[in-house]
Amino acid sequence: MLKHKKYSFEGYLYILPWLLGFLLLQFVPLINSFWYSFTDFQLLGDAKFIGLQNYKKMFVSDPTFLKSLSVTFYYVLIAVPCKIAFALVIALILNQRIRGINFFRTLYYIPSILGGSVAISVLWKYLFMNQGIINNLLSVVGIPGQDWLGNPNLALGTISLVTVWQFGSSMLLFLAGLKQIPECLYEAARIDGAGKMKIFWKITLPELSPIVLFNLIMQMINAFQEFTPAFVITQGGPLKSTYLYGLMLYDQGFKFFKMGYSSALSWILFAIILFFTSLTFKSSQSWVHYGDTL
Amino acid sequence: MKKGLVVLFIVLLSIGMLFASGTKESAKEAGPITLRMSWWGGDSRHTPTLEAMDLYHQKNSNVKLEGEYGGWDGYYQKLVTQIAGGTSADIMQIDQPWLNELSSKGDVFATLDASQVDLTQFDADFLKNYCTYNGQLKGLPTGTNVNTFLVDTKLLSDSGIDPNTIWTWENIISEGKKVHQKNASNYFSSATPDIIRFWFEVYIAQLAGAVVDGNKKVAFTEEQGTAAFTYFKKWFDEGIVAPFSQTSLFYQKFQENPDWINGKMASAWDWVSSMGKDIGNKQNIETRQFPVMTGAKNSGVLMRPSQIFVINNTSANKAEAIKFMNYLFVDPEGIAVLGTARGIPSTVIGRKILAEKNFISEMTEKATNEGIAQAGLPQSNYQMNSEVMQTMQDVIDEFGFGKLTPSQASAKMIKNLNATLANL
Amino acid sequence: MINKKHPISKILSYVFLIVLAYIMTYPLLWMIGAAFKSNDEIFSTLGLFPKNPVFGAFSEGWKGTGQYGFDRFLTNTFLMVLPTVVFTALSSTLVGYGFARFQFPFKKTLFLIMLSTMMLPATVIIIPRYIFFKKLGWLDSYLPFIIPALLGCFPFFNFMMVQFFRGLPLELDESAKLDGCNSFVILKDILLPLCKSAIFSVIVFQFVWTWNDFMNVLIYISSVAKYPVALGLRMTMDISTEFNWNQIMAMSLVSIFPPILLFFTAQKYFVEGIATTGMKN
Repeated sequence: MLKHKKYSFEGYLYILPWLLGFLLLQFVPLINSFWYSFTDFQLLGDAKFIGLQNYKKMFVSDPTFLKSLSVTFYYVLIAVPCKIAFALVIALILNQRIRGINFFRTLYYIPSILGGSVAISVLWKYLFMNQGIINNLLSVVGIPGQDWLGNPNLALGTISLVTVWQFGSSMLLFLAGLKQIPECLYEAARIDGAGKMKIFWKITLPELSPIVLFNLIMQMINAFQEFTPAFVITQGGPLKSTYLYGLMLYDQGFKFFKMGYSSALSWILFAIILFFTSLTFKSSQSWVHYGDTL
Repeated sequence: MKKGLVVLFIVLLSIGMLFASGTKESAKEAGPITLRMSWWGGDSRHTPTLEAMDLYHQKNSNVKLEGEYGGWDGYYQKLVTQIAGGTSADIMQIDQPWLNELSSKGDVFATLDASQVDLTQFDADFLKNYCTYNGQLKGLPTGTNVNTFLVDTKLLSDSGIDPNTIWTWENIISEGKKVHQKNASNYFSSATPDIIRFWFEVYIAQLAGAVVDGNKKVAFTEEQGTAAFTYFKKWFDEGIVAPFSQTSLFYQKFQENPDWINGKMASAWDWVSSMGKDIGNKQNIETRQFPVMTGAKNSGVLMRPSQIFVINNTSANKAEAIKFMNYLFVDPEGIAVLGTARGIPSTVIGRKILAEKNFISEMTEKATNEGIAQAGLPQSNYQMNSEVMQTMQDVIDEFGFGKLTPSQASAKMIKNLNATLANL
Repeated sequence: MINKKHPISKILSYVFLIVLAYIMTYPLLWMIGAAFKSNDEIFSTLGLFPKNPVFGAFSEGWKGTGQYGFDRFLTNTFLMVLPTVVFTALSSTLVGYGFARFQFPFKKTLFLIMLSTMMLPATVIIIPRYIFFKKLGWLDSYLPFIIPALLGCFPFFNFMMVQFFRGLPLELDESAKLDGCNSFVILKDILLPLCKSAIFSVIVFQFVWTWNDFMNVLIYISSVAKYPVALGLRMTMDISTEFNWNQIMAMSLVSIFPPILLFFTAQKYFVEGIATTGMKN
């Protein structure tokens, strides 16, 4: 057991591709954008050093920064837990031996394949608009219709539904993780007379925890930078209620040409994501169960 | 083993590509010249443009033309990236507001003069107002595009309104409200929040001349702003226009609103160039002139090039690029092949040839002539700046959602515009 | 398993699965219907079935804009996607194994750096990376996709493989090591067979994402002759001139067919997982 505590340089051999890739391909652009964040770079022409002015601007004179940041936090808080929980539940259902399960699995992955396809942006509007399908369905049960995408209080939730609806990738990972759980653990538990719920909490969930952690971290990193649904469906509106941080970065950089400012905004987001990722990793020591630390 | 072979095959394939892949952007060829031209559009633009390029190549075999074309989505971002990376095409199609936005960041477009192009074919004011930066001609207008006011004559008469009404700001309300009164799901105007911004700009132009003038100053007073917002508040109160909560999801795409397609909205602010698409298969649509208040300083009706063709200032083959532009703009053959792919040509010869060949529809011609007759002063570059437009839009959104009274909206817009202008 | 004893719960499972399947596939069904509708009908009515069917969207759309058709765009997409997917699967396996099973100096720092490259929004990297790739002479080729895949520059997959490897008991390695296997043999013969479903996930994800990628291909590919489907699909969508939505829907359907097919056929690896895992002795 002590053997693997020993340092060996063999590991470098395996991570060499990434190490090269990082140094050769990723490092330079990264440093460039960091430098831009201290300049007034406007995409074309030269970048002039302006110290911390970009960073000052977002807190002092740009009200959309805080608005967008809070929209993004709400989005992360709604979309990430919902998506992960949903993906886990569906994965558990699909993990059973039911006839036609392959078929269902494929169907559930289709939204993820459709991605940000042009059809989605059109369809989503028509589902959720005032005289749309959702309101028609609701009126059948006697619930008054809503402006799902036009009401500033509802639009973000509606947008989040797209994200949750595309739960396929997370589901797939859970399925893959479920297949890795040794059957003998279940057998042992059953012999001990454990019930279904107990098996889930005592065996399935702990064994799946590395994947839960992975999904949580990745979904969080992605959700903080989310761009597509708000860009293609609401364009940040109504009243900036879906003006996600990623959209603001895009506007500042490519619409308003303030690439320096956009870079500064990005590095702030970077710090925020890093903070929450580290926090999650820290907490994971108490709830993630790895096979290699038995 | 089979799997191994497949993997091996793919690895070889990709290694092959490593060497086979062209890095055209940096390739320098001697002898035959390659000209790259980029544009966005639909099939109706791609096909004739490619055809014109083929014909030109047949006559000038030393010039190889390559089209880099695609849809509208992302075109601007790609263009900006290419300019930043020094890889843009020799000839580029751009939207009119970009000419200033991009020129102000650097000397990215070649300067044109009368020795290279027959400028007498173009309206001198048109070139000066829309294709010039710092007194230098930077591009050529592909066509003339004007605002037009579309009305649905059937819905108007069904609502008890004379379809031939000459529209004023007052009767848009007094007559227009009948549409919503007659049927609560119908509205006189199809305006989405972005179109309300255009209407607001028209109203302010007539009242005060402009929203932002050429001296980078807000050109209207708080009273004038309040008057405009008070007027548009009536549009919401009297049911002239649908609430923002229903229209905001069709931001910049009013024509995709099923209420417009299904004939439940009686009028539209539009550009002649996109009119055909926005009308689609709708019947009974006619063009009208815009309302103008008495003593208006400026009609606020916009006229501008459909698009502009510019030449990359770093191109190695500027002279050849200009020659090809000449072919597209003033050569009878080029004009005939292009047709109305980029709107009604802005050259005298272009209009003549297309009129002879009956390429221009009656409706387009009427709308264009009416629009040109009514067109006001060009908007200042500052008013067309995307950040300034966004600033206006944000206040108009808050106003439209009922968060601001007319006087609050006016004060806030002036304050925010001043802040934005100071930062440009 | 348990369902056999409870027919009611089995029926409920099915009802739930079918209702959910309807919600999940509604857009697909709508797209199929829309491929046979006129523009007006797409935007003015909500039904799935076309009232006045329009045919020919598939054959017309397939032709593209005349210069290049979808046969070309699909071929291009495969040329771009296949090497990218293969290299990603290889590199992420190696890198994941390296981080999961070895101790080396600065491991934690390097791991954090790897993850942090995902945390900076792509928007601000686009221009510097574009200029960088230009200097390398990679523009207008698929190299901006293939080489990063080869060099493990998709941390998502590296991290994913780390998590899957770490989920496997260390005893497997230990006992193989006692048998005299070197670390590569352990990876190849012991761990990989247990990670099939994970590798399959890498393949599916990377395939779908590269297949659908619009922003990056838009930036890096300029020649229409090299356009992948993501660009081909949007190349007639203009703001001011009319285009046929039904052709775009038809070609969207064609373009999602390969990813769906891949997913459906490769599913057996999931089922296989049941049989191969679970021997812990």
